[in-house]
Amino acid sequence: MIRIIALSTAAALAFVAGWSVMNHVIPKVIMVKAMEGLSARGDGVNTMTLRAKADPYNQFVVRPSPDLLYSTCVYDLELGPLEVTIGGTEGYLSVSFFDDLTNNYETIQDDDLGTELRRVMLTREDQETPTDDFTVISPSQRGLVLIRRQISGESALSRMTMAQADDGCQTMPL
Amino acid sequence: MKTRTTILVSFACVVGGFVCGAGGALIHSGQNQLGSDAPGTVVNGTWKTDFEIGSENASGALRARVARKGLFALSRSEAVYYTRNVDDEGRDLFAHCTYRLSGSGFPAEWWSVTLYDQDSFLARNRDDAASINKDGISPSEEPWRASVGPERPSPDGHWISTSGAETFDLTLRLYRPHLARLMSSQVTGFPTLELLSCDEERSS
Repeated sequence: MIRIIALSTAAALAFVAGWSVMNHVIPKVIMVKAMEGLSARGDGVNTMTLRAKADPYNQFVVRPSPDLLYSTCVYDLELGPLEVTIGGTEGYLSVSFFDDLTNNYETIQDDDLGTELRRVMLTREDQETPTDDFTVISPSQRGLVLIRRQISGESALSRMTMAQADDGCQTMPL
Repeated sequence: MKTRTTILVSFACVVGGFVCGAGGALIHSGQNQLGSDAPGTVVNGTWKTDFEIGSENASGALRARVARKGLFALSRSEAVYYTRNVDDEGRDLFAHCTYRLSGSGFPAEWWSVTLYDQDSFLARNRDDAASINKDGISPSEEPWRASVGPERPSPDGHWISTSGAETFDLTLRLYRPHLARLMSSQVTGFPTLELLSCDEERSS
């Protein structure tokens, strides 16, 4: 009887361990694969990729919104802080930052940015920022910057696309 | 011999338990079901979310599920994502059927409703009708109605096309949500989804 209880307990603990390990591994693996895929299908690392409006034949990620225009920058802060520029726009806009565990650790809204071209510096905690610009600290060396713009009709799409052209990200050497 | 058997059985129990746990997590992460006992996470019994999506406080299970089914989701201060995969009667959603989606104002600055197929991608069709959003609904239309189905209802009617999918779900995105209202259990206006008809020839 004692042996059965001991074996059941061991199996239950192993089940919990397997559950926990897999739930930790899945986001990590998917984020690594996603960043590899995004940089391979885009313009590489530390470069802003201007995505076309999502449609059934152009989907760069699961569950894209066809009502938003996306720009993506897969980043690696190994060589220094990242300068992110955001084109001026109207309507809904957000700049969101994701670490390598898929956490959305920071989001900047259009209210914070205004309508003109703006800059944001992205750094690690141990890096100094070379400018006095708005600074975001990344909890991981690698991650993703994602800019979303609301599309309100075809006329808005052309204006949003023009604004999107000013989006950028580049390494600022230390 | 007995000791050896005991070791083998113990080893099998531990390995089996670990594999079952890992496999269970993998299966669980691939399911779309959200919702919990927390107020606002289930609206009308059909629209479901988890307010910890995108958050550092998200559990491992939620984090894994979001990574597979909604990567790069924003945290709740910026956006809340509700998903439903059943009609008002609790039946699964099929692309060969036509539904009436009806709703009114949401506690958010901007919203959209988008259809995703069984693989969590936009359904592959050229109808240019994957979603509706606040900008396409005039205030005089409140409460608004939209058709969800394989056929465009009328030239000026709101429509979400199901063509190219087999089964589907709908995601309601609420941007800049009024969280206090959403989390208070006093949410109204979330869309109902009424089954109107099914074209069995399309399903075959």
